[in-house]
Amino acid sequence: MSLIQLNDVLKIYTSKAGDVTAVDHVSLSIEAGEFTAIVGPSGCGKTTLLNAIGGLDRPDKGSIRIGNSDITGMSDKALIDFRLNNIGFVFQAYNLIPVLTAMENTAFIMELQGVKKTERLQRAMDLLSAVGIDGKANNRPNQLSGGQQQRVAVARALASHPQFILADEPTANLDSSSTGQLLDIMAKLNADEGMTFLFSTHDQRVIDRARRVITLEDGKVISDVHV
Amino acid sequence: MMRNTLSMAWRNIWRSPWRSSVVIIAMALGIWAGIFTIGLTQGMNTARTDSALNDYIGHGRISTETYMVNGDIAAYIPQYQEVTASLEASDQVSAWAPRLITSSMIQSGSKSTAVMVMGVDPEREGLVFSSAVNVVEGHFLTDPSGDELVIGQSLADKLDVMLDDRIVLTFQDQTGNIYAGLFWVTGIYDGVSNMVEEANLYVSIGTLSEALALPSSSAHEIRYRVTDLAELDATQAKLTASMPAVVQLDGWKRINPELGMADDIMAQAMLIFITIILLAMSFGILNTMLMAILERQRELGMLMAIGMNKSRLFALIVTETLLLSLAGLPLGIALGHVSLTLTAKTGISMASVEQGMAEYGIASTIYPVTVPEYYLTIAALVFVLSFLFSLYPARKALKLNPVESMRVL
Ligand SMILES: Nc1ncnc2c1ncn2[C@@H]1O[C@H](COP(=O)(O)OP(=O)(O)OP(=O)(O)O)[C@@H](O)[C@H]1O
Ligand SMILES: [Mg+2]
Repeated sequence: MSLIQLNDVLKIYTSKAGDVTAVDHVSLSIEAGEFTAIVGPSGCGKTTLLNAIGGLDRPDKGSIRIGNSDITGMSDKALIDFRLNNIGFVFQAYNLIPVLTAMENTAFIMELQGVKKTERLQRAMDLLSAVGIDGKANNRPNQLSGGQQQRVAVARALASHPQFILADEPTANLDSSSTGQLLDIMAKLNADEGMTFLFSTHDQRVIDRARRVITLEDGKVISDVHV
Repeated sequence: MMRNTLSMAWRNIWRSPWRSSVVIIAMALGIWAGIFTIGLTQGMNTARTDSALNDYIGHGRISTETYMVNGDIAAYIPQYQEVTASLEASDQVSAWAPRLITSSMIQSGSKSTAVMVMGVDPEREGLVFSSAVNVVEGHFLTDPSGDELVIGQSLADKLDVMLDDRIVLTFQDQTGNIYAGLFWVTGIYDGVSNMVEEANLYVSIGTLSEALALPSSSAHEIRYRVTDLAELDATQAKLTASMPAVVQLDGWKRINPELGMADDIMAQAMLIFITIILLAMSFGILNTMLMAILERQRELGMLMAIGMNKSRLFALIVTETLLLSLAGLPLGIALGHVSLTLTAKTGISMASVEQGMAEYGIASTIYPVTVPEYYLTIAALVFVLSFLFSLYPARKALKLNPVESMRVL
């Protein structure tokens, strides 16, 4: 059974300017251990699709199953818990809580899960060293570079032991060397720990690193290539 | 979790150090103003009460219930010797003064009017009251059984009476006989309201008891002072137990309910006043919190996206609001307490409004008092108000949609 299963997912935005079909009858499955990029031009529906998979937004039609759970039928409250325990999020920006240090940001999600303090501090430290930020554990986000912040975000996303990590344009705000470093880390976690990554991008260098590339256009999957 | 929420809330407050400082200082100043005003009014009130007790009320009164109900002159205190003996025996009672009181007609030349005649023992009166009356011409009574008379300035003016004049007082004695006596004006008092000056005049208690055909040692009431006013209730209870059942003891609050009530009314008014100050402050805090939530939309959206549940988010916003209001509290209370402690020693001169104050029996220098009994109430009030005012911003935060909040640029 696949890790993520989308069945005929439809999302239409209605606005004064007219209806926009942001995700147009998409069906897909993602297996555990994949390192997959969703690509396509701006406005093709990448964010909308990832938000639906991440349980942040509800499709108008179709269903989404993650592991054994159909998230389309969940209440808002259940969805929050589901996100906390099953999905690691990395956003394009504003990932971190500004008043908390890198360490506290990473531990925060475990605190929400109710993990004991000693355990969460230990794990946060381990994760920060896995992403190469252990030297800056006590820095606040504004004392970190954009690349470092994104690496902390990856550590934070991993901290909850999620089923997969969802990253919407994680490198969009990064220069090419930071982009390379972040992808190295993500690829290593994928290879060593088997962590599933699903990320969107329109950066060719990032696309080149993916092992599966799903291309969207006007909300439709126009190609799906395993590299 | 509590501790983490608290620490995160505290750090969030200091993200806008200027804005938060202004709110916190405003809160502290508001509380300071409130506490100082309470201390000042209470000082004023205490001074007013003290002078009323010292000047003309005394601390307590002994009388018979019948006399209190209908003023019947025959309802004098029975077993007078026993009653006064118990007063003498009590180490709590520092002084006492017997009084006979009756209505009478006063006549001078062609004019006459109804008055209350107070028969007093001049020496004992002086021990209970610092100035029973403020004699401006002549002198107060000197003889416990002479024909001296002290009259109010207004009445003297009305009747064209002068010092050393002779005056006739007409009473009905307890058997119903009419008695007329000739008195000699030895003093004129002033400085109380005209109504009192026209109503009350003073003669010796011995003379009055003879005129009313009452036993030679008798009194309608006995006013007394105690050594410790705070223990008045206990002292009265002890005295009551040692006295004949028909006499009743009343403390100053019963004698002069307005005076006692003034304390309670003032306390109520002060609480309302401070609530209004705090309400105004709370609106400032509400505004600050709404701004903070607007600014932090993205971050709050992100928190919900990664899995912070609603109750946790709610707790965070409520805690931030509470901290913002409570942070100024210790400072406000400290400023209030210190300023009251200092001015309680030096006093605050009210020279500029002295004239007006004197008419209300208020001294021209006010000695504020510290009011620690209010601090807890104020703290509770701040807590409750800010909790109530935190609900709206917290609700606003809960209504944020993670996807839309994070889209905001
Ligand atoms: N809240 C909304 N209301 C109306 N239309 C929307 C809304 N959100 C997205 N859209 C529209 O849906 C389409 C898909 O948007 P989406 O953000 O998913 O694209 P994207 O591929 O992530 O683009 P980008 O690469 O710029 O991030 C776009 O045409 C966009 O204008
Ligand atoms: Mg997008």
